[in-house]
Amino acid sequence: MITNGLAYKIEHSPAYALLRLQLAANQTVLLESSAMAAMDAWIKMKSKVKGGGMAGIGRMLSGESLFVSEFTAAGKPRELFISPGTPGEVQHYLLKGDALMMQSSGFVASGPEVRLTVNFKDSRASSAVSPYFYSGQRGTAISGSVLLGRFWKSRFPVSTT
Amino acid sequence: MLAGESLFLSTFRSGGGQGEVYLAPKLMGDILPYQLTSTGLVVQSTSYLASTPSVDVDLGFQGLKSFFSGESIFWLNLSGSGLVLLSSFGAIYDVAVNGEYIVDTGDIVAFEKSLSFSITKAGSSWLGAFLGSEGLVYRFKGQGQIFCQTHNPGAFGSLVGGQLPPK
Repeated sequence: MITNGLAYKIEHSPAYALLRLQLAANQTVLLESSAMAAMDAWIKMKSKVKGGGMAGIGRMLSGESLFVSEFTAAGKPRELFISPGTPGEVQHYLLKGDALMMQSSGFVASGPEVRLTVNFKDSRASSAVSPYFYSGQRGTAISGSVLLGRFWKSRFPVSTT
Repeated sequence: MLAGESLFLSTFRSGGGQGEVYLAPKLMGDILPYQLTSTGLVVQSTSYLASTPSVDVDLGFQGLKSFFSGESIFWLNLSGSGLVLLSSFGAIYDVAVNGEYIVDTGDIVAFEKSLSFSITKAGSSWLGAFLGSEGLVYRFKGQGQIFCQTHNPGAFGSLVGGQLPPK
């Protein structure tokens, strides 16, 4: 399936979803760090603090890794396999210049034009089961494309009191 | 035993008539039947489930490099010909390699012996490799198939383990 220039396939869903990206030449994608499972040897990886220092610290506070990894297909079309940490589904969501709030552990991958920011959880939400902060995904470009992981954790919440 | 496998393999032999055996791996996931040929197969030790008697199962030593990757130092070397059953955590997908390919540590089920591997960092800088927690990866070279599991038992264990109440 191709959405806004990002060709992907979700395999082995719903139990053990594996995201398979076909990167065009010199195309870049952002992954949650450590989500990479297998890839062509010629894909270049770079770790960076996403969204600058403050956003990075926010990500860390939200229980996420401070870093996201940037993968670029150097020169030729390349293939990249991505597996989220927990078994479950992966779902695609297309940002059209709007914003999406999501549980911080739900992020799997996105196009480079998507901006990640961290918002602290609304106090009204504190009575909810989930103890996580939420990180907002903001697509600055119309072509923003986020791949969300739907988690085992969210369907069978683990108590973290 | 050192490979984290049990010291003994059980042999099931049907007596006079036909018989049926049910096998269940430890972790939830797939079972992959693989027809072994003269190429040979290297199996990550906990992924071995069963094989026909015509298959030789040897303890293989892939060097200290496996140790540094957080993986068991020992792999199983399968040779001969016959049917092999492999198990995984999550689904199994295969990657046909012609040249070089990178796979995250902990994701390997098995690979054909026509491939060789080394342990490298995923990115261009060592600092980035660790900060990005992608850490170390396998770099496979040659021509052949790699069988990977969609999920990493070690990573899943540390994710869930932290959420469990203390004993």
